[in-house]
Amino acid sequence: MIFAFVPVLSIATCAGAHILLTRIVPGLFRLSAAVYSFALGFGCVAISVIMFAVRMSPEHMSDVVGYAVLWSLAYVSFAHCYFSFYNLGEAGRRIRLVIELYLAGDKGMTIEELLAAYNARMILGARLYRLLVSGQIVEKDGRYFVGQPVMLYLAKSLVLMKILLFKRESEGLSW
Amino acid sequence: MKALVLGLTLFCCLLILQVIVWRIKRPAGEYAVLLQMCCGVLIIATVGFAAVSWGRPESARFVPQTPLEYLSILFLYGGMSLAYIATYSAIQADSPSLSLLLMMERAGPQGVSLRDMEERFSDEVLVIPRLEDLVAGGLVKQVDSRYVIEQSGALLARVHLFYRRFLKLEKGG
Repeated sequence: MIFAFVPVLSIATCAGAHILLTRIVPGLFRLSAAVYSFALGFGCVAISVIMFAVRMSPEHMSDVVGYAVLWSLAYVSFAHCYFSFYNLGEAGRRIRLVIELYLAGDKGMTIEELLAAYNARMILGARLYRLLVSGQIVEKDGRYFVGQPVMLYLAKSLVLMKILLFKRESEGLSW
Repeated sequence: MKALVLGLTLFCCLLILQVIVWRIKRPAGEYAVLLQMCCGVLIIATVGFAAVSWGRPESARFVPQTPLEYLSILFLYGGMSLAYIATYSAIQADSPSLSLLLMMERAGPQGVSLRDMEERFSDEVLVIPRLEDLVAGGLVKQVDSRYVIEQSGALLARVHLFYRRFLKLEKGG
């Protein structure tokens, strides 16, 4: 029954490694820290599959394959949750807004004060920087173009989901 | 293999249920409803599995039998559901990064200038709707002309502030 907790132990390894790497190696590119820690967690899944297979008889190999896929999917899902939580703090506009308002205390902020602390120009600047560093966009003569299309494909997938759920391509942003 | 199939089937049921409900009427508290649906599917499935095991022993091989199978289904379905809910924020609210990419793709070989982006993505487009989300979600309240954090918003802020300070990271956004 201990094998049921493989996804949990693996994500704990991934999260622990990610926290350690981020604290101990502050200059490490954030995507690299995420990739290394994800790989370490996935290594735990792989080792667990091997240990599980060793305990099973040959006629139960289909169970080994089934659990290998299940643990991998569960681990990837948990990792997605963890890195989504991380990304909320890294890039989430709502999180940044609640942080600013929390730090302002009971007196709160007017919209002008809030926009002085966090505004569209800052949001655009941060995103352009991340997209440039990761190669998703390129800049030439002051104009920006799509680079590697990985995130572009993700964007198109999300548009499909929006059409399926909300019958429209976006909430209001037009491109 | 049974746990894998059952876990994936439950997750597909959740997705289908969400599409049906959202197409009929999109709920006001979307995340709360999604979580309730997630728990509801799990509870109904668990009761169903138990009923089949006890009521129809000849069909018991199609339902989980051991703690390993039950826990595996729980972790798979739970993990995928939570991952989907985490992704839902990117579906519900337009992501500025992804919107920028779509804008550049549609501009084609002439590309997009910074000025074009600043004109299209203003405070009214990028900040105000998110602030309104926080007010609608009860995380922030509006008192006259000021926005004040509520207890739930303060808790969320503390969790993220603690986590980011622990990782020695600056404020994000």
